Amino acid sequence: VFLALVILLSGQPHATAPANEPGAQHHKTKTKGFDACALPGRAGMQDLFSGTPWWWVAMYIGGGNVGSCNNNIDHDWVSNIDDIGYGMLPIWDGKYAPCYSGNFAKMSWNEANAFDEGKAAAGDAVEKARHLGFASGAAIADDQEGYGASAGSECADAVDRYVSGWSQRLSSGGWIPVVYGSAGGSNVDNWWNVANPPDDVWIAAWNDHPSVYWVGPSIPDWHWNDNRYHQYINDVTNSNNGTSITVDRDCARGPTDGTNDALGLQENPDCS
Amino acid sequence: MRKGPWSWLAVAALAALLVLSRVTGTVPLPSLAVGSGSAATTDTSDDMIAQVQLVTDQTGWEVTNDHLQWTTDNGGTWKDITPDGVVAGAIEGVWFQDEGAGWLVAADPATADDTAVSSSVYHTADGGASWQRAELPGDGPGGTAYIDFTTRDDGWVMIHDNSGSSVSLGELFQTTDGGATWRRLPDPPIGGKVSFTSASDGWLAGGPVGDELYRTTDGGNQWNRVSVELPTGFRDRSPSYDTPTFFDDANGVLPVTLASPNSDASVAYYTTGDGGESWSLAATEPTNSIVVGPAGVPTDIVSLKSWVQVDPNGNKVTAVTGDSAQATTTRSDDLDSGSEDTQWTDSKTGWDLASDVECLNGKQDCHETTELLSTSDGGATWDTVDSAIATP
Repeated sequence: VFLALVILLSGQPHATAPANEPGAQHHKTKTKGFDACALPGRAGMQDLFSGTPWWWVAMYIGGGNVGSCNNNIDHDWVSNIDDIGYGMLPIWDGKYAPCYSGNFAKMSWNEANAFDEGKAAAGDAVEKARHLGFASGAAIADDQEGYGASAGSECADAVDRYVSGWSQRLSSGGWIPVVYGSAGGSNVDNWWNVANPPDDVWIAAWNDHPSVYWVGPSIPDWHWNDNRYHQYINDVTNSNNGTSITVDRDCARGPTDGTNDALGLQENPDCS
Repeated sequence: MRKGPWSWLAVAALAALLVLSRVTGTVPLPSLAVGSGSAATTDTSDDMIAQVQLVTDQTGWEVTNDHLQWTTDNGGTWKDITPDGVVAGAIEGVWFQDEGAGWLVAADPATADDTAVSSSVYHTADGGASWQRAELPGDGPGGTAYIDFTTRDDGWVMIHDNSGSSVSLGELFQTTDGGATWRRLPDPPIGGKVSFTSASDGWLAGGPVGDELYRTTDGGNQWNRVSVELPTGFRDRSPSYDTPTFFDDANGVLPVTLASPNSDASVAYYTTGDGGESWSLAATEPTNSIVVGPAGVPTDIVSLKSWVQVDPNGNKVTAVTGDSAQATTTRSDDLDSGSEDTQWTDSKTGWDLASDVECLNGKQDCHETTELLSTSDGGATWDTVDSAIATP
């Protein structure tokens, strides 16, 4: 009975701000969605919603590594996408692992500094999310790109502390901390045991199987059992109703922000 | 914090349920009772076609879910030529130089997960009747492989790493013995499509939004970013570059999608007569589709003077004649779904790889398809190529 109560409550929308504000309501969704570095405006997003299985979209809203992703997203865009019926998951492209390759903004090797950087990133993400119309209670995902499962523990420890700082800061303000990472390459399962674990994890495991479960040997299904997303295909084209964009495809068993009550009612069995 | 004692109790209960269900063989996860609007059936898909290449007017290949299939009668029949040892889902890329010589990149079976993927290159000289395997040095996160050879001996493989969509990284490898051995080159600035015109000169296109184009003059060791001036009236667009196609050392054509989040895309065609030192705008052709991201509008540079683009919205094939920059638009209801790739051997004969998703009830009970279509009349009519007829 207790278990059923927990599960039922987890599926209810959480209204924490005026309902007419975009991003003010939040639904646990169990549907397919997509994320992309470049997203169209209202007409194109409508094309990608109508008659398709895609219920939610994850979009970059800022951060030191965001580059030119989604530079067309503003308060009006969020409001329009909410009107269409999408759930939304904002992504903060904060600092990557100190051992990450390439020319990117990277966190400190020092664990204490990395923790503070995670908190600072969360503060910046909240400020931007509020500016876009999201409200406390919304989920925000930090992008923690894969740095290699075989990287030394010093690098993994810094990432884990950054994630802990991110989660602590978001939780303290009533926001839902989500962290994206490659199943093995980002050592996602490490985050289960950090001092302040994320409420939800967004697991990249490009196995072409939508289910949020069985995503690899490194993450037991009972970790974040009902609080996870799965990015299952990388870099494909969604072409619907006259709009064509490059996306990653995802399944959710986690929160998205939006006023469409159907988000909390739908359940795509592919995602289970 | 959400993980209070009650949450831990819930987790323990879920774990117990999971263990119990595995023992009993039932569905392992709790399912929330949902309202009348809930989807009750699983989305379905046919065998998805991931890649195609029309090598000659009758010969080509396709990669379906797990197999490389070869046709010599324009898709009338198919033969499975997947190399032995390539496991399901492992094919990262294929390219054939002609009807005999081809290369296939696949993740090695022992490491086919996302943590540390090592890959091998299989090469054939007899249209896939036999294959030889060579390992690529090192490992990475795996991804999509792009292959290009300028001779039978000189070739490159780029593995565009799987990653979040704001990141574009890759590993570049070179062979000088037809693929028998490979060496890793310095990491390129992005992961993406590569094309080479000689042992020294090559091009790399991609980036998170597709707006990056690079040139190398030392075989891929160093890359310099280049750009073209966008056409008047399109200066606010985001360019999405393909790599240029060269027909000799000097002359080539570069298609650039002019993308916008709120307007239909156009394609600008640039030509060079000096090996890519400079580019001149030759034509700008509209589409009826909003296109954003690296994929761009499907185009094929058939010859120096003949270019084809297929509207991602379907229905519309535009053939551009380079001499006079004149365009002929052909519309066909046969081509009614989203075009993802197009391959032509001349201005009349081509393939189009199209995808579609149809839902029976609003956004529920969805069925996803990919379809290979062929035309022999410049796109006026299209026939569906049956990819299901395969013989071992």
